[in-house]
Amino acid sequence: MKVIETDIAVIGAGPAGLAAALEASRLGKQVTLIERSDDLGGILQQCIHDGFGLVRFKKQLSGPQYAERFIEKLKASDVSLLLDTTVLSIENKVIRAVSPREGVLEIRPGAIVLAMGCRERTRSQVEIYGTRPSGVMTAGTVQRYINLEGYLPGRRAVILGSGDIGMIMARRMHLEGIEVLGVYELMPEVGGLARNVYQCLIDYDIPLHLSTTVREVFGKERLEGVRVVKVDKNRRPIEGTEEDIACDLLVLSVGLIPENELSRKAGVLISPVTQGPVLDESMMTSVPGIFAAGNVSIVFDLVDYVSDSAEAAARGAVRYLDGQAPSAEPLDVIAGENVASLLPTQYRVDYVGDELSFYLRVRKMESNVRVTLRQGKRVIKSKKQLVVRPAEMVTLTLSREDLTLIEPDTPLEIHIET
Amino acid sequence: MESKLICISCPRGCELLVQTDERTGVFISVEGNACMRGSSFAETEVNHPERMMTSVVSIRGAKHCMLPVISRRPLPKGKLVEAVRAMRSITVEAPVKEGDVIAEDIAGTGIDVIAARSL
Repeated sequence: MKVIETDIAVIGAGPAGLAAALEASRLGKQVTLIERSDDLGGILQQCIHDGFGLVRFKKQLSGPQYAERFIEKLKASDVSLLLDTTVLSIENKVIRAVSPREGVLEIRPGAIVLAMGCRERTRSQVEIYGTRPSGVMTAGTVQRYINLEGYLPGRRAVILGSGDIGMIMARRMHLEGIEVLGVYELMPEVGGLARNVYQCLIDYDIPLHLSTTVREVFGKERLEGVRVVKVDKNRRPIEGTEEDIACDLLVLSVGLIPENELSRKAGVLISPVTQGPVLDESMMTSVPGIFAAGNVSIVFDLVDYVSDSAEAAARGAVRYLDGQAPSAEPLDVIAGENVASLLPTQYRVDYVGDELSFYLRVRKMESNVRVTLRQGKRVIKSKKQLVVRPAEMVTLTLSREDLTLIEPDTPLEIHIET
Repeated sequence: MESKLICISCPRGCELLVQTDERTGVFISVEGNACMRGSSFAETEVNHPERMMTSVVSIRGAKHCMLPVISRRPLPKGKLVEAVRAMRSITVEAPVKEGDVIAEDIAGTGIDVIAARSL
């Protein structure tokens, strides 16, 4: 069995893994980037629509164009790359992986950055009754069929869930000649961004049905139709509002969750707040030396933030290797008023980074608010925000000067204040 | 005349209230935009709406069979469907570099379509 010794092992070469590997390499560490597929860029390679990179590059790039900027840099760096290599386990910071060329590999790094991304929720995670025909698949699977493999997976499609990927695939399917009958959303509000309602649905007269869900699917071998039903404010079906729709494709865009399989094997604690690993200000998990970056840590809305979080994790890993990792007891960072999810959820006062960004998602839309980080009665940092929406991540960045205001005793809280 | 648009220039999605000439339909003014991109979007959206075109073409001799492409500039909105259809009959040979021109003057718009990645 081949054994590889390296400073930092990064698992996953999507946007998070690429950015983490580049940043750690730039800071002088020997980096091994491990990727399961034979391609770099992860999900970006099938996200062929534009709108990526506005924060980092001040441009609206398509997914592959965004990835290409990192891939070009990676090729010019001395990051060693293990493609076609699947990580099987992480135990005591030793990685076991397997590839068709090398067989079983053992990688012994000084630190690990987890960058496996997230997964789509599937049919089994939402309440849909009926048969189990082919033709029921997630939006990401449809995207892969059309954009990477060149197949049309159906002719008449119904979409359940109004997340961004669902709306983007509504447009994509329409442009490729699939009849898109409608987007159905259980909640009374649209799940994704307003601009995607406008440019993906309204542009092509694709109807959006709020407070309506798919209750049942029909068909033996292949999907033949779905039954939709309106729901009340407690999300219970309203009797007498059922409607049957003939279709051969049901596309599910019903949410994303961090990929935790390897994280769990590595023994890191999972946070009920983010559904990903519990992380401190350096993006370090509960296992010293194991860090998390990108959508494995919390589901971000913009790839730009995924890259930013990955660079932060890489810097954390470098400081850990250099013996500068903070060692104070971590303070909890509590999700307060109208905060649904938050990263990081721990802060150590002896953190030495130049700045620190908090990322949060809100429960409900509110206008003219302040995003405030408090410690007891004291305000550490507060900023005005015109509007907050569940579909959009809110960021709060603290400078080194702001960070010095934090004291070592009391937990921190973040609130959306009206 | 007054109409409502949603700005697509960034993820923020500002709701724009646009005033247009009753007779000609030409753009007069806009409210609700948080930045300058919003006002130029509103004017373009009213006078001659345009969208970026992204699609895929077939590729031979690469590890994938489809190559993602993007228009160099936004196309007139009315030409989008025709442009995406035109992509279906294109096959290119690997290797392709990001930025290589894949199709010139798509749908008579004078705009080129380029490769979105190297493959």
